[in-house]
Amino acid sequence: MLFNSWSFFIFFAAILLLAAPLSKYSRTWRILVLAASYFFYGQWSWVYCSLIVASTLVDFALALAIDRSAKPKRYLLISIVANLGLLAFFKYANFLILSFNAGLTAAGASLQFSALDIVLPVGISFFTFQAMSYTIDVYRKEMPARRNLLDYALYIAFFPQLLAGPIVRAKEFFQELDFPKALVLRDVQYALILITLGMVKKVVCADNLAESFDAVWLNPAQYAPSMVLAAVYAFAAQIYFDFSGYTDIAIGVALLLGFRFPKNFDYPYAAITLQDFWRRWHMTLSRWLRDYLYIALGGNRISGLRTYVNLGATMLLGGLWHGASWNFVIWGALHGLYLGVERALGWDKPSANWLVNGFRWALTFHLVCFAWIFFRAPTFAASTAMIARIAELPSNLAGLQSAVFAVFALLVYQFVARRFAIKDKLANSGAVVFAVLVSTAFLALVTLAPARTAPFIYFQF
Amino acid sequence: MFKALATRFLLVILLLATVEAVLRFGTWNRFTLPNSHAGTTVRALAAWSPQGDAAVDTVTLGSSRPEYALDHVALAALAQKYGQRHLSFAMPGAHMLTIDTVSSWLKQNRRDVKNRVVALSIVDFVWAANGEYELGIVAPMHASIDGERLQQRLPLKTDSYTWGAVSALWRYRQDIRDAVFAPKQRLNALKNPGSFNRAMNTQVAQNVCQVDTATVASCAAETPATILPSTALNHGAIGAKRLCADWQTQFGKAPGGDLSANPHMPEVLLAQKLVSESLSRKTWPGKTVVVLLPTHHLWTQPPMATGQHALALEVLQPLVNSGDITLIDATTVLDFPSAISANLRSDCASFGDLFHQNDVGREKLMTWLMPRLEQALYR
Repeated sequence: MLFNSWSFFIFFAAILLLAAPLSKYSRTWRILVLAASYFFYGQWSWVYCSLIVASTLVDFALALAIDRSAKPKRYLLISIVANLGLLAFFKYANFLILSFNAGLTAAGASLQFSALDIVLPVGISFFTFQAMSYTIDVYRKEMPARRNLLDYALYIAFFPQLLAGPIVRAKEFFQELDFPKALVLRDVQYALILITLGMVKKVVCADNLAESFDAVWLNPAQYAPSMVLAAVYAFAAQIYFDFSGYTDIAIGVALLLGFRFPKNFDYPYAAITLQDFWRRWHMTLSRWLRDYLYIALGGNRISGLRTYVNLGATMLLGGLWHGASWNFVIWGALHGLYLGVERALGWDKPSANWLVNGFRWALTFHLVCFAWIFFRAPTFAASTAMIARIAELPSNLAGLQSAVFAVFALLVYQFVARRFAIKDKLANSGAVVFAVLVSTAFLALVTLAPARTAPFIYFQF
Repeated sequence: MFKALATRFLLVILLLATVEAVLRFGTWNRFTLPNSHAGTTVRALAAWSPQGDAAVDTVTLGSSRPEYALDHVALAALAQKYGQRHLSFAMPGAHMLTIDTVSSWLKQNRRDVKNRVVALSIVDFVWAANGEYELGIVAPMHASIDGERLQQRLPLKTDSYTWGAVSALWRYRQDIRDAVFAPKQRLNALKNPGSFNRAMNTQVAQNVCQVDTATVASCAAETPATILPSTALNHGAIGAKRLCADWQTQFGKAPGGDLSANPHMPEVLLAQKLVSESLSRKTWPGKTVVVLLPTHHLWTQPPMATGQHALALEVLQPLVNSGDITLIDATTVLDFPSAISANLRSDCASFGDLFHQNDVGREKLMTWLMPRLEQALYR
């Protein structure tokens, strides 16, 4: 059941109707939303729904043990091993087996191990990271262990965020649950605008970009270098619209249920440094990696070299978190390298000179786009084929305008929307502006949606 | 808060209803891409506009199949011999829904048209409508659309295109989308939309003899995923290979079976009922001559569904018996006089691709057809 499907809207409308007469966050309300969340996930796989239940029970019990034990570290370790083990088995086992086989082949051995016949559970990277953040926070005494299993189960399985985030910290979630705030008109209007714009971003922008450029990624040699370059820029736009569109819908849906989730995107392509980019792109993952990995490794409070190593390791693991392939490792490593070099050159702070900032913005944007090649291409060979084709550009500039237009449209949107805080303004707008916006979005969805609607990119992680 | 929200939602509904109404009044018609399905209908309606047009006695209805297969110049000349006019309203992608709606439009706007020649092929009797294509074609004829029949043909499903059965917004969807994504091309195309061709023949020289059309498998053989334009194969041959490869993928593992076997599937029964209604005297009180055009044998051999000819006759024969229609069955006219092999029946030299006849095929067909049509229409 995808957010961009009618079945989801029927499902969500039913939940709102059923929940409306219930006292907010009462036990019955929580049972209803938890059951709805399991039903939502069960539409994809009831078998893997039991995985979420099992993970919930284990981490709930371990957190209680951490809270009560004189030696809590062992329980924390069990929790981390259990969660990472789950992730490793489902997400990385085949990657390790295939990489090992490749190593054996390279060494001349004929022995090969069979890959496991397993399907990656949707959203596993997200719910295991949430579970880990909870037990770590309890261990760090940042919050007490939750005594109510229903609350914790709801935190892990809450359907607006279950499949692809945002990665919400337990204390943020329970804060909302324990201290419900009444929804006012502005909240509801803001939520509806987020859902509407999120749908437009996904269905109109991301899916059309995918339809136009997917073929280029499959066979770059058949296309002009300018078209291949345009495909890279288009993917930068597509992944932004896809993932931020999903996040907007998730945040909007959660808000209609009374939960205020943290932002996940803050116009990332307007960033003028790589550090700035990571403060604006998939913010809840960046925050998770910073709080539970980078800082745990010592962060930047230790010697210079170690800081660079920590930075590199964090980004490398961040890359691997996205998927089990060498391309994601390269993508993470590239960002680690970018951040390291930027820090070493002292370019991680904005300059007072707007020309310098302009140059850094262009550099940041293009470095991010270059890394996207490895993120999007299915294999390393496909990535190098894309790069090789783009390298032919100086001898063939035909059709470059489509590439320039793709970048221009994306950036105008980023800068204008950020400069004028458009979402906030719309949230406070009157009935006519709201109605025109929603109607226009609806018309755009009807008329501009491509024939094929693709699943959200981040569902595969 | 609820009052404020209700106001907002009412405004949204009001705005959307306004857009729907504006589209139903045909406001978008003037912006349709001339060569699109909706655009072709707009041009056809302009050409068939009663203003300034002399009376027309006979109309040819159908898809691109009759557009290529029939000699429209010869048909016009034949009519002239009897002091009458015979012109075409055939449009690419048209199926029975279009024939039904155009017939309705003609009854409302061109009472001078008495006879219709409905040119079909035996593969047209399995479906009652041609999906989103046909919704685009009938969109500019809102006033003539029979909503109930439309929904019978295209029942609402989760496929959003079927919502075109109730909403003009969905019917124009494809055309508006094209205009938004390629505004420059649209503006250029609108400068010179061209006129709808009511009495000219489409010349096609190519044939499909470059392809082994004995069976779907032999036709599909060695079809790469992408066939680049090459000098070795003409467009018709490339199209044939692509179509065969698609059929092989779609039906290779699950052949269509025998359609004439009883009992029929519910959707086939419904299609038969609706096609029969569209061709009956109830829908068109004047004379209806149904021509079953030559159909390439690959359409009727496994893995494609077999028994299509029998199924078509099952619908048409009762209408012949009741005197509602005159049937001229030319399905096998372009087959070899005696089959070269068990499989190879259709003469590849007469087909421009697997759908349409070429100049050779049209000439052969018309030699056979003209006396029969003359008999049916004018004697």
